[in-house]
Amino acid sequence: MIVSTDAVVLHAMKYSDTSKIVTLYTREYGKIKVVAKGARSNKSTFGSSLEPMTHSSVIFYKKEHKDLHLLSKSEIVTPMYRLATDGDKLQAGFAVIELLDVVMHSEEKSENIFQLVVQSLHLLDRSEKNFRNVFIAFAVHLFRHLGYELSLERCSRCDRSIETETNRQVKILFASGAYVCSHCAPDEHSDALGISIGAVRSLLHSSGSDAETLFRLEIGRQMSDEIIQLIQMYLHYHVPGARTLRSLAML
Amino acid sequence: MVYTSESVAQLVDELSRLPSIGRKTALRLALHILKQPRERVVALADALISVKDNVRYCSLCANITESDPCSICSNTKRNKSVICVVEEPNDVLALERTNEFHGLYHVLGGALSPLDNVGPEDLKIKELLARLDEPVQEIILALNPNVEGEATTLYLAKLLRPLAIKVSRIARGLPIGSDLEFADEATLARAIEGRVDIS
Repeated sequence: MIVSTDAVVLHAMKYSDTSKIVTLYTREYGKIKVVAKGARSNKSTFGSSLEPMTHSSVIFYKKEHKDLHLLSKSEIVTPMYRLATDGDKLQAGFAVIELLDVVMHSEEKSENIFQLVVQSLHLLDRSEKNFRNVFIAFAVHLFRHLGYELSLERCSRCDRSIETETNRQVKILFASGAYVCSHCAPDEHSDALGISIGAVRSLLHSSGSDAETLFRLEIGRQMSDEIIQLIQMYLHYHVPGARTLRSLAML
Repeated sequence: MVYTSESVAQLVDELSRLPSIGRKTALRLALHILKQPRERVVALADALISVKDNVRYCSLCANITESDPCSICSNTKRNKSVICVVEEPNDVLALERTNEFHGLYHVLGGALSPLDNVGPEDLKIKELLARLDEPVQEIILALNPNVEGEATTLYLAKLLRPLAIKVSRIARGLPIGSDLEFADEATLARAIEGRVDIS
C-alpha cells in the first residue's frame, strides 16, 4: 500500500553502499523505519530531507506485518536552516528527538505528540539562546501526552500551593509525578527525587510559557542540570529499560 | 539452513558477520570461493591475516598505515602547518585523489552522534589537540555535510577558538553536474550562503 504522510526524522543509519535506514516519527503511522535506496548518493532526490530533525513529507510503500518499509519520495516541508548554526542548539535538538525515539513504540501514533515535536524543533530553530528551555518544555509536555504528567502546582498531600513553599528543597514522587511540600515528607519507601524549589518553579514556568517567554526565561546551569536529572530519572521510572539519553550529557 | 558441509557452514557464518552481508549472500560468496583455485583462496586468506597483523593506526593522524608515522605524516614535502580533519580513513583517500591538498590529515574515527552513542570522548579529539603543540597555521574541517558532521564541526570550532589558529571548513553546496531545479532547499540555502566573489 502506498501511503503519504508528514514525518520528523529521528535517526538515519548507513545501509549498503548508498542507502540509508531511516527512523521516522510520522503523523499518520507513528514511529516507523524505512529503507531509502540511494539516499547517500550525491544525485539522490531525497537531498537533505532525511537528516535527523528534518520535518519532511514522505511517500512510502507500507508493508503489512513488516517493520521495515520502502521509502519512495521525501521532501522538506518547512526548512529549519538555523538549527545547524549552533552546537548547543543542535544538541538540544538531538535531545528532543532522542527522547521521542526512546519513549515511542513502533507504529504508536499521536497527533498531539507529532505537533509537539514539530513545534519544539521550530522553536529551537528560531531561538537565539536558552536552548535547554525548549528541551525541558518539550519533555514536560511529552510526559503529559504520554499519561504521566508532572503535577507541580500544589502539594499532592496537603494541597498547599508551591508559591507558599519556604523550604529550599522539596520532593517529586516518581509514581505520581507529584510535588510533596517540605511539611509533608513522603514515605521513606517511595521513589522520589529531592529537588530545589527554584528548579521546580523554573520547570513550571518553562512548561507554561509561550515561545517568547521561554526564550527569555533564564534558568541557571545548576538548576537546569537538576531539572534534566529529574527528566532522566522520571523517564527511567516510567519507561523501564529506557536507555540513558546520551544527548543530555552533551547538552 | 542445513548445510551438507561443516566447513561451508562455518564460512557462511563468518562471512555473514561482515557489514551488509546476509546469509544468502554469504552462501553465494562461500560457493564462489569453493570454485576458485587453491592459490587464489590462499591469497585471500593471506590478505585477511596480513591486514590484521600489519595495519595499525598512525600515532599522529590516526589514519590506517603499516608504518608509524604514516607515509603522509612522514613526507617532508607536505605542508605541516595545515591539518585537514576528516571522519574516516576513506575520506583521506577521497581528498588525496583530488591532488589539491598538500597538508596533513587528522582522522577522527567518526562524528558526534548522541543517537548512536558517540560522544567527544569516542573520537580522536584529544589526539588532535595534542598535535597543536607544534606550530599549525590552519585547521580545515572536512566533515560530512550531514547533521552529525555539522555537530562535530561546531563542537571542534568552539574547542579550537581560544587557540588563535585559523579554522576553516570545506564549502557546502551543489555537486558538479547536478541541476539547480532538483536541489533541495537546505542545499541551495547553503550554496547561496557560501557564494564566492568572482569579480
